[in-house]
Amino acid sequence: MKLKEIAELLEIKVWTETSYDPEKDINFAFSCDLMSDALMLLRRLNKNTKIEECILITGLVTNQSIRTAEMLDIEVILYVRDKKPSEALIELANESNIMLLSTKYLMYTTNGMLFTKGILGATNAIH
Amino acid sequence: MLYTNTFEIERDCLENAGYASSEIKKELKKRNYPKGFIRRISVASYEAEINIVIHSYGGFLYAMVGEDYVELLFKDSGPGIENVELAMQKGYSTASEYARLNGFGAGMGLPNMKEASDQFIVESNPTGTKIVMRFNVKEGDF
Repeated sequence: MKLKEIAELLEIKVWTETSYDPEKDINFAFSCDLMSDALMLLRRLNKNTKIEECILITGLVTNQSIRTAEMLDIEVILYVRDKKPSEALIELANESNIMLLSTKYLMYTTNGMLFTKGILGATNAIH
Repeated sequence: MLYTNTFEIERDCLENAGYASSEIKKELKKRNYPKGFIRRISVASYEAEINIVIHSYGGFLYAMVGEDYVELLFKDSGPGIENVELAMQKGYSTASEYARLNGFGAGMGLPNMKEASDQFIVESNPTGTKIVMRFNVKEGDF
């Protein structure tokens, strides 16, 4: 799926206009509010997962969501529940080449909408 | 040695947590190390950095970058890990409410670091904790 299609589907607001790439392919996702869980992704990726095509979906609007994405080479963060990043956060995202987006939908709904469109989980691992 | 640097890591300062790991990542990217290698180092370094911020009185990261390896030494000034064996268990955490509210405290920090690195040493007593991690460029990193 192209990022612009996701943007339309989830009525997304883009916070980092300069780095936003509507043509970017997104085929995988990982959702969590606990950044420790996201960091576990490193060794829990599915064999076919391409991390550069992965989107991080979270309600945690702090610098740590950006740092976590940066360390994992994830280039797109989607904030749910209409969370708005601060100016400082947008600046950090721009410095780190991370695209910041937000949607009004809850995490459950966001995940469901993407899943039905064929976006796969980056990992199936439970632990 | 191609690059060495020292970073101070402040206690409780989640605002800046990740800065040192981000700088190291940028440095490694500039030098064109394999992507997987850089990612292993970044995640492990970030976990260690977060640990110093949320658990310790503050500390330092000493980074050494060689031709085909990276060595990171994290040193803090206490209060030490009470039970290292327990801390190495997945899911065991003593993180504060503050840390948890900021997305940390799943009890996966040390196990994650151990798995991401090729050599992992942790020594701890009440005057401080020392973590040494070495990463060698491997076939799977490309």
